[in-house]
Amino acid sequence: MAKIAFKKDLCVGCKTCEHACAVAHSKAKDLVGAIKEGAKSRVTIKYLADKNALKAVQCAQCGKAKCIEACPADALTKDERGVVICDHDKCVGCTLCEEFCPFDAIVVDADLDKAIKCDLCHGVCDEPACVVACPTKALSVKE
Amino acid sequence: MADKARDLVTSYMDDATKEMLKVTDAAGVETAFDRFVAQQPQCGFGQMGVCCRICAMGPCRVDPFGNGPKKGVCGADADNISARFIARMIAAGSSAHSDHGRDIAHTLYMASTDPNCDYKITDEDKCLRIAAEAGIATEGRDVKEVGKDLAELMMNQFGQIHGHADVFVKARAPKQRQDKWNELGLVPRSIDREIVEIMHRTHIGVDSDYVNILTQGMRCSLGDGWSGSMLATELSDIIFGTPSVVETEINLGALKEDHVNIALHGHEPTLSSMVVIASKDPKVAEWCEEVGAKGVNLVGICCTVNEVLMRYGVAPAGNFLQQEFAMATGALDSYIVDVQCIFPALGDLTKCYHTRVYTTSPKAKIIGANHIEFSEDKAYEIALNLLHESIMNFKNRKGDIVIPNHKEKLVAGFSVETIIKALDGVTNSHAHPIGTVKPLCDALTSGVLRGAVAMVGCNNPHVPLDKAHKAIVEKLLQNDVIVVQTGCSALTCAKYGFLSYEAKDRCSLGLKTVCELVGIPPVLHMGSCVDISRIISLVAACACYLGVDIDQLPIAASAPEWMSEKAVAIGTYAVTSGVFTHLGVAPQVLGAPNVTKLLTQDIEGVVGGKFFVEPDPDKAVEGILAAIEAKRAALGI
Repeated sequence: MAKIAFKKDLCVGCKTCEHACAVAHSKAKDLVGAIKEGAKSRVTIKYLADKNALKAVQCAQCGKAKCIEACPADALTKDERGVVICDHDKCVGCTLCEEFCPFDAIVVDADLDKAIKCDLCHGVCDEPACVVACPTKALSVKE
Repeated sequence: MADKARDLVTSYMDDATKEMLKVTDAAGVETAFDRFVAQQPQCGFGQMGVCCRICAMGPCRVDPFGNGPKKGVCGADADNISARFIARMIAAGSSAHSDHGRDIAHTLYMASTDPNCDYKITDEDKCLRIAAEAGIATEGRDVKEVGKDLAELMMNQFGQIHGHADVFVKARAPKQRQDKWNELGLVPRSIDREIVEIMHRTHIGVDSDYVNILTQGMRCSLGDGWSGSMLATELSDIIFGTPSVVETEINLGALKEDHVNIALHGHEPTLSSMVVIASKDPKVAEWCEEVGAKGVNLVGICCTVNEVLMRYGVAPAGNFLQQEFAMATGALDSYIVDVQCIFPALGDLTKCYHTRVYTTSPKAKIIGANHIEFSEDKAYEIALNLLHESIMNFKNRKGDIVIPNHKEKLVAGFSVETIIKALDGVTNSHAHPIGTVKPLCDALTSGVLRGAVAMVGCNNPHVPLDKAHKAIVEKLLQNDVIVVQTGCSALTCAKYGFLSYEAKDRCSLGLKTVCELVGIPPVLHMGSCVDISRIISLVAACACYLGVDIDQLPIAASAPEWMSEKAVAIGTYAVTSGVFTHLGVAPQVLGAPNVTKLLTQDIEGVVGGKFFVEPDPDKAVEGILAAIEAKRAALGI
């Protein structure tokens, strides 16, 4: 099962991963175009004040994924690497997945009215854009 | 991924650089291209201009994607943050040009007052002419007395308490332009003051209206283009001579294996000119013989070479991004550098190659370099010492020497005076006065030339080396657009033969005819980046001749591969002067919608010029030509 691993000690909170993710998932594939079309990132770097630490909010590709169980439209499935993929043709934007996800890692995009989540750049680019972009190597692919 | 990025950044370059890149790659020597790839992806907040590090409550960032914060801790939004940032770039750029000008003015003062000074007033006519322009009495006076008054007046432009730094504005700008600037309050009060005021306004909690901040940026930039840079150019001509046509060759092939190769790099003419003069000293030949070299071969990089190319015909070894490759030939015995655009990496490269890097300005030291401080009052002695040190290093050559066998013919030396002299050749002196821009204006109004473009700027690895320059200049020449150039941009186009007489054969008919009749190349090299003031002066002269404002002329500016803060200052004074200005690399403001709109649209209604951001060379040419044609239509020509 593939997922993105996060080493919090290496993260400096630069949010380069967020930009790279949004650009990779945009039509324009560049920063200006991504901003214009309102592309969204599937990873968010959050500051946890109580722990004084950083956290990557990103899909954990759970073995027994609550989002898949909750989806009434069968839009969420696992690919051959165990990555949870959302089929936008099937997704009805009901937000049940959002409610059931324990990690806030899947959200329904208000513009698209479809669920978006980390797809490990499945069908988007060769390697996950966030991993390639991270200047301190805090993000990596864990198979 | 890294490989792909490197392939892209090195996908285009001249043959000499291509050959040298193989050499540095094989030797495992890191260059700017490698460091650029290592920096990818570059921070999106920085690229978009929405990161603020001005106070210690920050750093703050505005999220351009809409989920994160919209304001910094103080409440500054994206427009405020990016306007402050751009204004500070203008301040830095204006500082660099103008500080250069200050040293030149000081040198003229020394040359005029100290009989033992190594510098002399070379162009006495120009000294008298510029002094008269500046309102200084010249009749029956000794040229040195006039030179002293002129130097003092110019030095005062930097920090005068009363009035405005407007000597050249008053003498050269079209009346309509002066009225517009006066109405908008854009005439600088003094060069330094406007720079300082930018630093004040952009301090935490001062100016938070992006329009007001950028207006100050425009005023500051005029202190650069119409004062600091302009006086640097004019006084340099007085001290070192006004450039006239020179022919030489460009690229790394200008290095000679059996000679002591010395590269002059940086921006100023003061030391570099003295090195050229001192290289003729009989002792130099003796020292060369001593070490077994055939002589000294002076070459250069960046605008220092443009200064000594224009006046003495020193061959450029290349442009900005080639500076490391000159060392990698193993044949460069010394780098004599002054200020600006000198890679800190040259210091590290001294560990790999025998080249000595001599820093000479107290303002610019580099770790790994040797520092031999330059002082104008011992100029010849220091220049000779630098030559001696460089020649002695010839013996320390080690390893293979690889000098790419690529160089291209180049014609330079097109000061405004040289251009007017060339135009006199096609003026009917029985019918019209000579010494005017009439033939150029006639060619423009008749449509033989559709327009003129000033192509300027740097290299920037965001664009494959030289690619945008070459593509744009090629197309402009095919559309009857004459091109004037300065800086690394001129060196770039020279590498591809565009600055040669033969380049007329790459032009469409109108431009080709003009080149043949006037006896000029289609691309005119007008000097270093401070010499963009020459372009401004020429443009102003054309506008005055035609009785129109600058923004009505069928002209444009283009900086396809710009990178420096100086370029931001230049672009701003071009736009403020009324020029449509293309940028091939987006300035770091795109995350600020209102600032972007102001600079690329609304500003045109205020000053007549605007920025046009377009990385794609074909689309850039389309935009430039459309702007030129629109101006022609409005003028009814």
